[in-house]
Amino acid sequence: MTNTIEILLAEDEEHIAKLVAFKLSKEGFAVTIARNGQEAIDRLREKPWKLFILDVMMPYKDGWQVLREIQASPELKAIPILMLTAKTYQKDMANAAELGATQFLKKPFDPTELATTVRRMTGAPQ
Amino acid sequence: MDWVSDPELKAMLDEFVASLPVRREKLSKLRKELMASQGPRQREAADEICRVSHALAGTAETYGFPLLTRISGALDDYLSESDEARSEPCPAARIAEFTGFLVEALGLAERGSDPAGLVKDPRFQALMDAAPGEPTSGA
Repeated sequence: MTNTIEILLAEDEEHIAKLVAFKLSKEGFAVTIARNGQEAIDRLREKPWKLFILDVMMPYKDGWQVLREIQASPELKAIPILMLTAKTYQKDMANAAELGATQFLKKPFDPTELATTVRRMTGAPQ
Repeated sequence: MDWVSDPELKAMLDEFVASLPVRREKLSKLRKELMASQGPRQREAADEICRVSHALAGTAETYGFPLLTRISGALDDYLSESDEARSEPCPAARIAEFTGFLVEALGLAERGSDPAGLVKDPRFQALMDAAPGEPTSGA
């Protein structure tokens, strides 16, 4: 039995995925990377993740399609979602909130800000 | 972030810098396709330039290349949000001009540092003027 907080990251840009995994693992989180939207949906169903970090622009299924699938799934819709997006237009933020996104972080982001946000969203000690 | 003395971070930074020539070559090829084609193929080239720019914009500043993010982000915004870039026929010459500027910025960044001097280049201001307004900051 472990107390490690497990996080699923859906991000196709490998340099961002590696950096997020590096930073959050240094903070004590266990990060699993999904490289596209479909893989993210498949991984989400594997276990009860504490947090789902979701990039908007991805191949196969983009972040919006993933959000809609999560909303339509009773077993997934309660998971907290942190959306990573290069564009935070008000209309997009409103759409994402309606689709169940809990929080936004604008790309490019400061890794320290990301870690702070993740700690807050997961209830990990600050 | 300690990019210099942390060996894991240094390796990630080196990998990012090593990705820049690949991105530059891809954009150069797409720029040529844009200028050589017409109709739907021209629009496909513009859309692919937009995708490459978008990915770069979301990554570069995090790795210490803020101006590269500004240039690629402005090109992404111009291509995806501006009426001019979305109009038909595709304004290929203008898109090619901005793409060429990003290609040049990537060439400078390949040396390992942000191409900060390009902020004084007239093409930088022209691109900023062409791109729609800055999105609101995320929270």
